[in-house]
Amino acid sequence: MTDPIKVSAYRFSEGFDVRFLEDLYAGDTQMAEEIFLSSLDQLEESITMADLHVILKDTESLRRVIHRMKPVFGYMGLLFVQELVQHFEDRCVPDRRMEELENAWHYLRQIMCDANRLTRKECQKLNEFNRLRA
Amino acid sequence: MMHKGIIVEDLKPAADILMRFCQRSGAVGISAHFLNAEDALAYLDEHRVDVMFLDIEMPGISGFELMDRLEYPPQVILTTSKTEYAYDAFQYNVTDYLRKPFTYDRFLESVQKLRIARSDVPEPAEDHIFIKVDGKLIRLEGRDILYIESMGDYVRFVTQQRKYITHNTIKNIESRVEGMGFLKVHRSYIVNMSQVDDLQDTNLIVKGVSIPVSKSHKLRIRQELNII
Repeated sequence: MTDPIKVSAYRFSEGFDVRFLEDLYAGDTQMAEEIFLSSLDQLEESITMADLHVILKDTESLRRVIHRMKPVFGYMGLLFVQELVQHFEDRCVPDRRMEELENAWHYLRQIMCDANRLTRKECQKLNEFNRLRA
Repeated sequence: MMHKGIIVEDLKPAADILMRFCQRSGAVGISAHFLNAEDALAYLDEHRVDVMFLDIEMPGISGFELMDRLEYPPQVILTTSKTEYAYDAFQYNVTDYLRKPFTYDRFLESVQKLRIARSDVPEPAEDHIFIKVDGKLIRLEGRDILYIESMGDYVRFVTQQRKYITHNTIKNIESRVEGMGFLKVHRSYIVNMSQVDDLQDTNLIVKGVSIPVSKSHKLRIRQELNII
């Protein structure tokens, strides 16, 4: 017989805000896996859109995409990345020239891509856990 | 008690989480999810809900603009990742303001407020109003009034026996007779729903008088008349 305590004891990996994720998903690892996957899809699409707005030097559209991405990092338990995104969003004011934002965007983009890799790995871990539990 | 609700949210993970929280709580049943405010507006024109979980920044019109356009908005729980909107949210008298991402416990707090807000709705206590006609106060029993008609800066109260004209606006009267079984059916008419005999295509028949009905009010009228 499966030990329910052992099965429910999923531990999110280091690098994530474990306590927040435990509060958010409350042991529902199936939900965590689904939300992580939809968050990854959302972010990949949004990063592509943001790149386009940087090329087109469209600061307001860039801000809108960034605003939309922001909470997604929260759902993935990466609250520090969410704060960085918030900081960047605050810089995307209409009178700011894109040249002033480009470097910051590329820096943030790198962090986002690292965050995505970390999350994809966690997704696999969650998937294995959920399969074993099924 | 299960609240009927909708989600207006363009971010899929955010909508998914909200949907799961609603299911887990057993307190809110989500009847629809919209990715933009325009679609939600069209839905609310035809359907009545208790609560709307509403994002603010979305493609097209914003959550605030959506609230502006609703004549009878449901209770609103704003969901946003920006704290800057808190003041505006307060102005709109929303039930709660959830900052994304929020936990299940925080979500439950909101649902609790929803219950409080619903139970705070005052029971109709008044069954009469006083109107001033030619300098005299006249008491009108709610059950005697058939309908109230706007005449610009004046309002006409029509009862079975006679008509009274008083200096007032239909908007002001609407709030005064709220909870007395009256319903605004057109920008110029408020009707005592217990006196309605028939609902035709674009008119209500009240004791033989035909009252025009706005398209936007039709669903509410059908609900009030308990048409199955």
